[in-house]
Amino acid sequence: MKNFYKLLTKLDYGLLLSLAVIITAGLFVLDSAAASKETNYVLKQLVWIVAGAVVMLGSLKFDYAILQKYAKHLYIFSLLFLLAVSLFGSVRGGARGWFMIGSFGVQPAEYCKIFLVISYAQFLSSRRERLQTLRDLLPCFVFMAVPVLLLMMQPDLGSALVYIFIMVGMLFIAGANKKILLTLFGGGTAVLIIYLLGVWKLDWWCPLQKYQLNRFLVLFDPSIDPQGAGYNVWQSKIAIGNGGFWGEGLYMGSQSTGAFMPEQWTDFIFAVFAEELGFIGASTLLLLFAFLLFRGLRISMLSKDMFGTLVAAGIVSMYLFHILENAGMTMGLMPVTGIPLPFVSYGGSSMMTNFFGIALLQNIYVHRQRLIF
Amino acid sequence: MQNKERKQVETLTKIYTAVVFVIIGVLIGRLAWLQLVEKDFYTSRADAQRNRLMTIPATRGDIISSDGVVLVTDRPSYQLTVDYLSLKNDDGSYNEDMIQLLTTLLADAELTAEKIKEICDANSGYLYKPIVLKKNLDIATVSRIEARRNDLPGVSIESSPERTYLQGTLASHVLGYIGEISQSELDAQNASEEEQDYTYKMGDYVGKVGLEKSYDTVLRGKDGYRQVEVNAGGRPVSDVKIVEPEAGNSLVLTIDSNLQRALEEAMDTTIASLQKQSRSDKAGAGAGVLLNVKTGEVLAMASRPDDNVGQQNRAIQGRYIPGSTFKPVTAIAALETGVVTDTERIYNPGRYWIAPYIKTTAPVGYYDLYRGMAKSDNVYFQELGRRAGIDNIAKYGKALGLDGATGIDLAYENKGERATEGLPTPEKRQMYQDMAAASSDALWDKKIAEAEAQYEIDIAAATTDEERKKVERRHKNNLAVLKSEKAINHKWNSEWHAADTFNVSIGQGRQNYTPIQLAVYTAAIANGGTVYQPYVVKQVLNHAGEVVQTNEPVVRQEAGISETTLNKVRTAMCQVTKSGGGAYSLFANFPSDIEVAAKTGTAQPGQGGYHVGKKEYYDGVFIAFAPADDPEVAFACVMEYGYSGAGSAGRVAKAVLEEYFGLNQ
Repeated sequence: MKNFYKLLTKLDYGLLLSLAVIITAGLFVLDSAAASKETNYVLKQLVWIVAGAVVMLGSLKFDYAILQKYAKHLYIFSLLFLLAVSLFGSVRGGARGWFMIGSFGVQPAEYCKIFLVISYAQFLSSRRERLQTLRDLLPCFVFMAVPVLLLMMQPDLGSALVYIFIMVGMLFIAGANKKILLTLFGGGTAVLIIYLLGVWKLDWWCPLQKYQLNRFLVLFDPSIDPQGAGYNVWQSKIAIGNGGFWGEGLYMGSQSTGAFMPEQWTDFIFAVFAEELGFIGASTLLLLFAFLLFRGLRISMLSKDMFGTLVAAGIVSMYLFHILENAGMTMGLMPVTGIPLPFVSYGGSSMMTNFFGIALLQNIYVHRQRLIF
Repeated sequence: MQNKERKQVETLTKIYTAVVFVIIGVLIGRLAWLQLVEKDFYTSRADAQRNRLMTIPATRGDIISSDGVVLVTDRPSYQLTVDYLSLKNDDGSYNEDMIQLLTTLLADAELTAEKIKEICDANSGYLYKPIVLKKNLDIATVSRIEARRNDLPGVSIESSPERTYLQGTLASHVLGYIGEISQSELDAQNASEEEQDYTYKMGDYVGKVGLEKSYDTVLRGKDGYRQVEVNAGGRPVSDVKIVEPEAGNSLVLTIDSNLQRALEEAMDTTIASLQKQSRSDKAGAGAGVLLNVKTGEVLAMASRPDDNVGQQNRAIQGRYIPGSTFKPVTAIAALETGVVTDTERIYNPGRYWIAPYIKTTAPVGYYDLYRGMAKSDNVYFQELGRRAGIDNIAKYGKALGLDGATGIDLAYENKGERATEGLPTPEKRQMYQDMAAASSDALWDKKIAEAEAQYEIDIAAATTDEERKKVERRHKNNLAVLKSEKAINHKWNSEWHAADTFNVSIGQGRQNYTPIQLAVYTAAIANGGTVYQPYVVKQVLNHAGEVVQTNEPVVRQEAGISETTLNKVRTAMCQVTKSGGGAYSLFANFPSDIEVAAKTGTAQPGQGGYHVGKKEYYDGVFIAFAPADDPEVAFACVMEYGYSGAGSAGRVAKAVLEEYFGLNQ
């Protein structure tokens, strides 16, 4: 027990403090955003936060290094979990991505992010001398391509993008050939944008359903799908713009209280945040996230071993893409996908996954000097 | 980790940190753009979709007959509206369960699930404007839907006033109807430079014809509005401001419901019996007007057919050749100018002795004014017309109100402004002659052009000089003939001919009047020469029933005809209903103290009636006033294809006058 207290004193309190502020502000905004709902979202969210905090603290006793042993198991488990859900799961929001136990839902795509970060970190750290040629990198891509394809079966495009982003982030920190990474993913993004423009303007062939495609095309023209994705983005832009510098005030956002945005307690909560707390509130939130990510990368840098470095880098990549995608979507910068804003959006699986991430970061931080003693 | 590796990790995490700050920076930049630079734009959008002005329609005023019968009123009616998005699932497909429930509750065979989707798709352009699915819900349906309120989010029932015609089609042409304002009506308002009592806007219901149109601003009241805050479903969350509507004013008519009913029933039964006779089997249309001769009040006005709201009110819009009902004008013109006395006897040899020798149905013999009027002798009146001249006939016709509009307070009165319409005044004749001459010129110009074209072909086809000369000669002669024909026709069409005067004298030829004009003219003869402006609305009442406006009689002009002349003509018109007169049989049963003065007319539209195959048809026209010694009412009626005046319009006159004098009880 004494040992445990000692561990507590070594936690990264900067990170925890910024997290506490994000979560607290998020709870208030959630309360406002879900005011029209009968379910008490704040209470449920609070339960998940407490659970997440307990897991985080409890896991400190173990050194994250033992996870290396289970890396393979986690990978196989993740693949089976994702396969199972895409075959037997329940449909929500157009994707077969949930296991429902009564009204309680588990979203494998969330938990698997962490599992895959761990197994991928192990995989990369074991190959770190072999990341310079395309041939060497190919297995690294295949490693992540399998779960990404499983996600596409649901289909859950948003999570698939998160996995890809995590892969790129981890490969980068692992020291993979930057030219290849940049060519493949920078070029890939460019090709994708050109392709979408072609689909939009020139009617190129596209395997996506119209409503899925529109989530991308609204980036170019919000009026393209005024009743679907375009409507959501338009309403969230109105909400954000309407907030102005100081915001409308908590519980006072005219867009939020009028329920003009769908899913405003999950996917579009950033718009509520920005409308009610204004530029001052929303930019502070983004800066707090930036600080949190900065601390995460610092932990990555300070890690005692490459495995910890890569796990931390993977978690930071996960957060970063969630923030970019979620906030970007509400502001019309990113396509519309249903991925939550970390620690703010309502959702149990997402909150647990994010706390697992914090738990790992703290663990890596706490155990960073073990070898030096 | 080895030192080199640690160094590399340090570098890479620093680069990554920079990337993080760039990404967050971009997000903050975007946030600043939306919230600081474009704030006003988005705020106005938020306000616009949040605040909604909902019109509270004003109750339109009633229209009440002079005997207190409510003819038109506004009754509340319920309509079902849905909001588009609440009928849709998240993926954009329709919520079939809800639509199914709606169709079950509405129990309307026409409103199928497919139909509902069709209506919704058609209205999907205005996302949050409630879509009206069904109007005029009965109360049972309303309560069925209210009971399932919770299963039908976005469905609401609104109450709005519905125009209701309590007496069926009674006086439908006078009342008119309302409808949603059209784009052309809006454009007309916007183009008008006159100051308006009310500025119409898109979606307003306005009077289209009749009183509903001419008194629209009186009847319509002032819509109120609710400024409400709504949520995304378009449902009001809270009221910001309410302005109550002001109910419209009501109209009390000069029309008596009993007289109106008697007139309409008489027209319907007369038409039905006319249709059974071969000579009038095309009957079905016509109009009649009963006026108070001392005020110009319209006591009854009807037009047929009335089986469709769009049909014109022939009493003010139909123009008819008057036939012999015009003869009193000819008589007045001749008497007033002194070219004849009432007792001078003119011989009728069977047809007039000057070309075109127009026939008469009156027996051969001598005729004075009284016998001439009673027998409607065409020879007598042609001679009077010849002596008085067309200018005098037009002068007295105009004095009696037959030129131009009567000014009745109903929309779309036919003012008779075209060359082919109205009284042949000098101006009108000039207009007509110019028109006729121009069209005759055009006809001959065409013939000349054709001849020229033919000449070009012929001359080209000619091979020898001799042939060419022949063609040229023929063409020259041809042209000369055509040019002289053109000149002759031009001259003929540019002139008024004696025969034209004869035709006008007996009520035929180039003239036509609306039934309301004929009634006004008859009333002027009856009342000593006063031309009143006829009117339908006596009083305007406010919502509390207080009189806010009373329409007084308006004298448009005094005819300036001597009382002795009028007396003679009135006496002559009395002969029509006496033994030997054209309408004797009609009023034989009237008591001696209620003498009816009248004139029948058989009009021949065009030249000699309507020809359908070998059959000839005529319009029946009838004018009357009574009691002859102290006239109270004047009546005019035209029955299209009625064949004879007494046999068609006369029967209507009889029924209406019986009702007026209480003789039918």
